[in-house]
Amino acid sequence: MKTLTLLLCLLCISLRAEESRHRVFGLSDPSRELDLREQLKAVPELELAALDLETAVATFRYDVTMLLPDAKNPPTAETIAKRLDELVKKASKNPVSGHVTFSLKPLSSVPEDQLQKIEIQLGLSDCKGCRYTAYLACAKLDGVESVIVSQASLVTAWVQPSLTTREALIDALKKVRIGLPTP
Amino acid sequence: MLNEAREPMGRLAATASCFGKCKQPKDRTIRTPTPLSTERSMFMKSVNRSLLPGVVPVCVALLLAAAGAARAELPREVQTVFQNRCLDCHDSDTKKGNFDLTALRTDFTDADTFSLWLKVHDRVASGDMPPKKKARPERDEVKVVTGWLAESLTAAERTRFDAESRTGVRRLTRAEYENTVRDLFDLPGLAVQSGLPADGSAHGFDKNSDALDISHVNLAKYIEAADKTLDLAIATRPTAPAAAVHRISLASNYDAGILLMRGDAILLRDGKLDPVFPPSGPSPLQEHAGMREHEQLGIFNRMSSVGMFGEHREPYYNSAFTAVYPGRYRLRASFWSLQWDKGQILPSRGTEVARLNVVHLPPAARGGGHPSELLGYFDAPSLEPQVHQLNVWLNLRDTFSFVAASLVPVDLYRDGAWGQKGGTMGYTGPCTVNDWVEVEGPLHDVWPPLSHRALFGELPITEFKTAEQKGIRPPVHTPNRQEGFGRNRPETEKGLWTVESKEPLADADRLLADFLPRAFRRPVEEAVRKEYVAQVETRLKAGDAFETAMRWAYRAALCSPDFLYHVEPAGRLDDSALATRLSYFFWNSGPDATLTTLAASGKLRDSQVLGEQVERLLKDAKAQRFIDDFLGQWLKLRSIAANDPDKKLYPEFNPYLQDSMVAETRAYFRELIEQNLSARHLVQSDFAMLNEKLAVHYGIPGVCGTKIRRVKLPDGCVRGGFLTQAAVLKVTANGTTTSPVVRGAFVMARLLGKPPQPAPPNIPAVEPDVQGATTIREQLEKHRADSSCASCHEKMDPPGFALETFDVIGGFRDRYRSIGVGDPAPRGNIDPRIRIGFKLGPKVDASGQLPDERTFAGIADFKALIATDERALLHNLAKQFLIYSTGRDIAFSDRAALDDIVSRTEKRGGGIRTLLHQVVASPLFLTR
Amino acid sequence: MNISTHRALSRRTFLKAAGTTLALPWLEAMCPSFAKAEAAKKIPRRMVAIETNMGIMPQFFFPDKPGRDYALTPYLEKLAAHRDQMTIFSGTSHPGVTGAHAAERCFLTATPHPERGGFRNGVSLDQVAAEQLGNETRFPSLTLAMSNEGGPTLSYTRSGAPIPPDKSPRKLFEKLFVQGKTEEVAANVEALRQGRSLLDFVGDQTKRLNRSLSKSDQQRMDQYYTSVRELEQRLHSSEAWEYKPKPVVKAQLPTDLDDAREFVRRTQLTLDVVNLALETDSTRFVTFFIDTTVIHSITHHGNRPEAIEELRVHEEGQFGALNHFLTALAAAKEDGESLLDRTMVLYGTPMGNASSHSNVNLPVLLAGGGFKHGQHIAHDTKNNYPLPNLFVSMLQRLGLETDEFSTGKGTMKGLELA
Repeated sequence: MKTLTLLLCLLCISLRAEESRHRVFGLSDPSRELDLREQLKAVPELELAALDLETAVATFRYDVTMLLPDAKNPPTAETIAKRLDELVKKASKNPVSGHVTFSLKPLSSVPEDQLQKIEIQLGLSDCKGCRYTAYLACAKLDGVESVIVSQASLVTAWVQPSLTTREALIDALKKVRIGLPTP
Repeated sequence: MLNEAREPMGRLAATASCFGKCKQPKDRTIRTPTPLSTERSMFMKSVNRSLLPGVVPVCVALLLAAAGAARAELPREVQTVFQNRCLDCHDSDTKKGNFDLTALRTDFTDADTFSLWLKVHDRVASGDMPPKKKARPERDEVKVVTGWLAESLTAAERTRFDAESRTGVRRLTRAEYENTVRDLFDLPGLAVQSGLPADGSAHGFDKNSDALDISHVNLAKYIEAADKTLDLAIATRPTAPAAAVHRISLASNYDAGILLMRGDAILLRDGKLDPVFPPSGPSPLQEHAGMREHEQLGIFNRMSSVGMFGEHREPYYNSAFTAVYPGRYRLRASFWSLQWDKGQILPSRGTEVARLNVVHLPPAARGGGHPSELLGYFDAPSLEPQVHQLNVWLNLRDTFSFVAASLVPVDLYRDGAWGQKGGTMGYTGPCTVNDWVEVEGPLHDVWPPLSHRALFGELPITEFKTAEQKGIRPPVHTPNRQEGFGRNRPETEKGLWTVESKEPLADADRLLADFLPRAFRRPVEEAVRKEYVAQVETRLKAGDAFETAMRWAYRAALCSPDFLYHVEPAGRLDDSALATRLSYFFWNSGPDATLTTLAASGKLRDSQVLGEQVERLLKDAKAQRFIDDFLGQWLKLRSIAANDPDKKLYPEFNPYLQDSMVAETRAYFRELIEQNLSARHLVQSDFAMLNEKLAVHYGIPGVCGTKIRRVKLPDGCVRGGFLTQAAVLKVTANGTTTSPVVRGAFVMARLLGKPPQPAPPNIPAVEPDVQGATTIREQLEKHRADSSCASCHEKMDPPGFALETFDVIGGFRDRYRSIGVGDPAPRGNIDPRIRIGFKLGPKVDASGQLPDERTFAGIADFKALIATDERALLHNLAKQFLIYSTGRDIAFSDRAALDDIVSRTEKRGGGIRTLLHQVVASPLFLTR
Repeated sequence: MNISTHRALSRRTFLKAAGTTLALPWLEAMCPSFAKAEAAKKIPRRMVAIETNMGIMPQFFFPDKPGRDYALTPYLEKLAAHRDQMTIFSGTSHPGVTGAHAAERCFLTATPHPERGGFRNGVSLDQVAAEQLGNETRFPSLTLAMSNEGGPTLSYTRSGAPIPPDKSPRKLFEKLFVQGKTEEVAANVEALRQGRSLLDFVGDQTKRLNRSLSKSDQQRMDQYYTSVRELEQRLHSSEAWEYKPKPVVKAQLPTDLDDAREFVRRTQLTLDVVNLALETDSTRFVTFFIDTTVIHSITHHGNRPEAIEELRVHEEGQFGALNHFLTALAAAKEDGESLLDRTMVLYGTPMGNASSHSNVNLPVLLAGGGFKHGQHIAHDTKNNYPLPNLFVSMLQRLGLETDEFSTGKGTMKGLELA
């Protein structure tokens, strides 16, 4: 029954699809893409059409009427974004800890060519949780547009240079007791 | 050390004090004004073969006695003997040992006088007095003195016991109280004992009216305990809460999270390291960062297994499960072990042992360190998980914790600790793993449960609708809530449910007619019951609901003296009193339905029925309470945790060893009773009850696992019998050093029944030399050389010297451990990860000489020597059983009956189970 | 220890000597706590125990010289006005109480080894006092804390259960001085009445039972009957408290401060309310747990000068608050004596050196209460003197006949009653 609904939804989406791009908050390392896809399976109203890991930009495809069936007027972009965020959060809520690990943010107002790429090599062990810690420490800072931590503990961040610097990121990492490897 | 000082002075405690130094106030005498004629006949008896100035009228004699001229009343032969044999030392000038025989009055009704004469009798009868150095008295002379004294003492006692019973009316001890309410309401886990103030001790046991004072504090606590009991017993739902199964992982809890993050624990899955969470590296670089973030991602919530490297951590399971319904639960747990070698998982060195505790969380609990109680020790075999199952009782807010009991305290998160670099990945050592714990419950066979039925029978539980019950106050119920951090939740409960009665007064009468006799352990007069019913009526009229009104009556019953006190008729015990005495002896609790029925039918006093009942009670699981309570006091196991062995001297000691020690002694005693073994086994046996931990501690090979089992001792092994058991050796030491005097006194008092005199005042304590220069034996030589000290010490020290073979935790030694000077100590059986910080000091000299001049070279010889006097061992054990079960000391006139018990037991093989039967069959037990 | 055994014993002895049984009016006269004439002679004595859990820097607390002529150290300088009313103790600690922070639970219980699994605490000093003497005031005791975390507390019951503390000065003030709602009062009164009628009932049962007992058994049962009557009296006084209006104070309802870093000011707020409580005789036994976990990191100063400086400011602030409290107590008068003379104020920490987590050489001072103060009692810093002995002295000062408390088996050497 569930598969049928899913197929129907996808059909509907592809028939009257709309798309929009959002920044995904919570993609701490490449393996998290699998988590996101897995969790989104429980949200048939959405389809993840495309995902750029390094910039954490996702393209969602959906049918607005399925997304907001009770809307009286045609919904604005903000309303849609808010609804998408709601659905993603709900899908990513951990059933035991109750914590939400994915959410959506609007894209940056700053054009992409004005963003600066910062790379920091960490000495973390191959631990998803630690990468998530490093991710959150950086991602919460003002001016950080996207962060991802590779399995080899390389932090790649896209930031607004006027708002934050490499030192600020290193400081934030130190605060959560993540140090840089000594050469 | 030994807490003898705690005893409040009992009436006959004068026997324990030194001559002439009786400090207890005279008004402690229970003085029965005897009619003049009785006194006269007493006097006449004491003057049996009188050629005395017996014509002196009684009152003058008494006056003279009061004035101290007691000599006038002693029979002439007795006076002669005293003059020839005693007065050289014990007159008013010399007063050797501070004892003036001439000052002793002959008023045997006075407690102090009585006890002094008793001492005279015993010392003369045993040959202690006159002392060895003096000439021996003739046998006739001894008979004259002891004969006269025996008659006088017996007569005085007879008079006293005509007016009052030997056993004073006494209240329940704390343990008795808890067991009684637990059994009355079928609430095996009800915890009320710890809320009651501590009991005292008299003649070695708390079951004695002299030990059981009561104050307003006790009473206030009894009221609290009654409320707690009734809260637990009364059902507040129409149906039982559904039994849920919770499979919980240690990983999903805060404590384990910290250990995992730091590397003191590892996460495993399917027998291998969990790929999602590598072991923590050495700090600061590869140590995991951000425990909260790990929790948010759910890394610890995947039912992975947790492996622990150290024994000193006690992580809780409280986030996963904290009990919301008190009741019976079935617990299952899966454990295994491995050898960790720098990241590799290898078969472990043997079977490790896991320990689970029940943790009692207070309301709004935070952090750790809450009271926790042992649930059990479980085998954790190498690489193959073993699932264990047991039944437990949980109270509200109970949860569990885990200890890797067979490991040593190891910290891996500090780089370089324990001699290795690289934290967890640099460590090699054993690791104990818990896969999961499963809690199933609450389990209810019937609903409402037996606890509720004990109060309300079969009355229906219906919904209390305030609107429909005008003028009646609803009963106050506390809803079941998750008060800890557990993720388990109670069912939603709607409405207020309470027991309904259509004929409240008739029901009250009926219910109380059932409850009160069971609670009071004897039939209850109708008039008394009516008083309780009248109270219920008053409460009903005041607007209480039926449940509340009945609760008033039940609470009153649980606080009334009929419940709190052992009420026994004087003289021969009637059937209910006998049933009660029996069940408090072997079950430490009130009689069950079978005993009560037998008592009601008058059959209990039949010797065959009595014997059958003893057998039935001994075979029941509740007999374990007798073993625990009796041994706890007789062999002082209650103070097992009183002292902590010095960490430098005894680094191998841990709680697992301590628990195993206690389990050994209890199991051994149980085996003696079950196999009806002879009293010789108190000091000597060819088997021991051991688990692996103890076997390693004792150096006995071939025992595997945590279960206690009977092990045949290898030839030449010094173990066997209570004296060589670690628990006994620990409670007679102080954590740092042993004292032959303390241990010797223990052997004499507890096993041989010949307690030594207390030390004279102002003798300084001997300070043991931990630096290792001199042994305690050498230090004691100095004061044993003095002849006045020697008289007691020549008896007391020899057993202590033999026991010097064992250290403060019961380990064998031929050299003392020292912190100062000494030779390097070999590791022996001590775990390789424990640092040996002590050295070997002087040699142990365990030889000695008994007062009868038989010598022994060491502990084995010594045991053989005292095992020969089986009668003395049996006699003392009989006495201990009697003091315990009858709540009184052995009076002088009881001695013949006690000897009789011993003889009858010997005739029937001399077994300890037989002894128990003979004790119960004896008039000492059957009369008050 | 068993205080109840002691007291009951002497009463029992007395009863036996007199040879009477069940003479009720005579028994009432016997109960010392309730005879009015006696009560007038008894001086009410109080006890306030304060623990700051993260320790204080010992180098700024302990004086060098023992005796009366010691030079005031920086922290003691803050208490200079009360020099003659306080005694400093050095070289003491609780035997066997180790485990760094775990020891904070045992400051008033002295139960050894709180860091072990399965640890069960013992009864705390204030509860022992309250058990015996608490019924004379509306609140037998007050258990307070200044903390943001859960419920760290100094008070423990006989079964080792922690007594949850009151943490809000505002709520405390309301509890002490704002009249309870009528329903609450009614409910409390009802509970007390039911307790008393229960005791009345069981007392009657005792009378019935006694008729079948021998004389000596009757004398034993007397002890039970006496306990019944005593408890009844206590419930009666508690009920009387329910009807008495709470004292009126001129002070204003305090506002709670939430900022954890403001712990000095929050301490002061609480101590102000404690002072009012003592002045109005609302209670005589107070414990106060000051939780400074918020500055835990700088207590591990590692001898860095800037950390030490920062820590010192906090700690001096605490002493300032303590000084303020002592001054207020000294200024209040009762029967011609200052309240400070009748109130023992114990201040200490569970760690001798918080930086190294050591639990020996605890900084402890005792002010007021009626002792011969003004000195520094210095015991052996290598082989510590048992601190629970001080608690025995304090219990004796309250008039309780005991010579032991937990691991203390005698009174504090060098400290005399005034």
